[in-house]
Amino acid sequence: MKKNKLISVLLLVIMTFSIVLTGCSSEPTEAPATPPVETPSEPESSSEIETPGAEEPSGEVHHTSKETPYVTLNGEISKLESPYYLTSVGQSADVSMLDALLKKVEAEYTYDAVAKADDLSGAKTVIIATGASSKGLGAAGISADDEKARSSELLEYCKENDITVIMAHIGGVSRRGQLSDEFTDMVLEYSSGIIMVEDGNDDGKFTDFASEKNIPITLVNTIADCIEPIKTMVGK
Amino acid sequence: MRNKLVIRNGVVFVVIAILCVVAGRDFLRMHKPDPINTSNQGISEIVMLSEYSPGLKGTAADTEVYILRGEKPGGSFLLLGGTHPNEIAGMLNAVSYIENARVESGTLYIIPRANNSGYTHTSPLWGMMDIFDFQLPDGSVREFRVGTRLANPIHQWPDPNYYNGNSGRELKHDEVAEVRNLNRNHPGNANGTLIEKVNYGIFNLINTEKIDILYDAHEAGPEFLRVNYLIAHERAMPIGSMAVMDTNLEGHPFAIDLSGATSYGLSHRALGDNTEALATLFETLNPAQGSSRTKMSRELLLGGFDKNYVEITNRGLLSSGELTTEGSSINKRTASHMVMSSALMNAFSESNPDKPIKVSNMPSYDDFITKGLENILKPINN
Repeated sequence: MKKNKLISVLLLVIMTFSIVLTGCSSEPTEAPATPPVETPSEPESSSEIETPGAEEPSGEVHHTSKETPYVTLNGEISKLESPYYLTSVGQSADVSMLDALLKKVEAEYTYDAVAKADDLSGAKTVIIATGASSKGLGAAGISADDEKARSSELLEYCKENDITVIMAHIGGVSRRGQLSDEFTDMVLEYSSGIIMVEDGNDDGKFTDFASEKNIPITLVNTIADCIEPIKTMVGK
Repeated sequence: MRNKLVIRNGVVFVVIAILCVVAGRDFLRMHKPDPINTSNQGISEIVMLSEYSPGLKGTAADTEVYILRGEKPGGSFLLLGGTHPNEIAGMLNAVSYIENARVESGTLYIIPRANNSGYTHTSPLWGMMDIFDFQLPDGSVREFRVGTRLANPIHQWPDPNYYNGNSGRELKHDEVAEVRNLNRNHPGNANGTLIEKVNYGIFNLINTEKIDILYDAHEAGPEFLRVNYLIAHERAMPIGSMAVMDTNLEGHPFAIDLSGATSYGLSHRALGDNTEALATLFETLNPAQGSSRTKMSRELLLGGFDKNYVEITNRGLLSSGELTTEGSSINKRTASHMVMSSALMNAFSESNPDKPIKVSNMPSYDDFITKGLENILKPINN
């Protein structure tokens, strides 16, 4: 009986003490072993976000650095013939960044992320930002299949009308992965040149393709390093 | 025998009472607002959010709105800090503006503690610090509460098993506590829950004051996939992209992503859809919010150092929240918010030359890094 009472009192004190400890003491406390019940601070649900490519780097030689912000392999992408048109294949936010880049270099161009083949009438060069975004597709109100159909028609139109296609892959590794690669592969087949943030080429996919097709590819270290090559492309 | 029992129970009661008083002091301390230095001549007016949402008047969720009007007309910018109180860099960015900024054209509306109720408690079992401080050059100490991302249940209770307010977001299962999350219930309801009344105040302020841009400052743990990202409503993408490009040209590797079409209740979606404002949200890297972090300490919360996340980064397991041995200090995080919000003002002014928003006297990014917040925050004299 006495023993039971002693245990009860002991438990009571331990419980009280533990309440004090968890009561937001100003002293640092140990992190819990398990995550908190509350969900993490997220502006979006994780299901809405594309995960980066799962492929391991293949040991591809990295060409760019802070000191060498961009390099061009297999020749150079010289000044492109205007009028210029900017569009997207995959509806990632990268097309908006490319829009900002072209504005920054004061290029004259037409921009429509969901341009149809007919819209390209009169254009001589189309710069296409590639990379998939389910949020971008959702915002445009189209499915991935619709986007593929639109892109296919647009690219065929370019081929039939001798419009130069430049592929811009500026989202780096976050624009790799199955769906992004499906869109990118569509554009690659029609491209006369590639400009890309080198992080997206860790597996050598794009440099290998450029070598095989003998088309110029400009690799940039960061998105800000696109400025100079783009100036050259649009003659600024 | 009976007297013995009474004495023994009495002693236990007294011991518990003493312990409760000791613990209670810490709890009550968190109900005391952190003072803000209001000597900045650039502050035109301080009003309460209840001016825009009368249901908030007299409640623990009512909060200050600092208004800094420029001499010249221009655009209007609403800066939110403390939507999630434990994401401390957002609040410190807001306080840095309040205590330093001079607005030359346009108007700044700043709510440093958007979820004021959330400052009165911390997350149970999360091992967070409740208060942090800075030692200022004059020897005084500026203290700030950490708080947590949800309103205090003593102010809004109970959490229903299912809630579908006018945000369109169904809160159920493990998301029911989010009924107290300011960033899940926009655009709010004048007659709804306490937090919805705060949401409504922000919504009504945006409409009443014709806010052009909304900047909602957040922080995230390293596992989050969009750290150092600006999340922008589709209408905000053009100026958001310009701003992010400008920050990149200045050497800050920030990125942009589009607000999800079904991100119901979140500021960048709900306030972008339901107001004329260009709605944006920015996340900085706070390793103290990660679930794989080490022991909570000042070094982690303010220094942003964490060996676990450096190891996780070195193993290539993170996509955007990589942490190096350099850490992600509070100075860097606050500076990043200042750079991003400032870049948005510049991009907006460039795109809308008839509505410029020009702010001066703010410390530079380098000032934040080299001098530290202790030299940017002003002393409290009272």
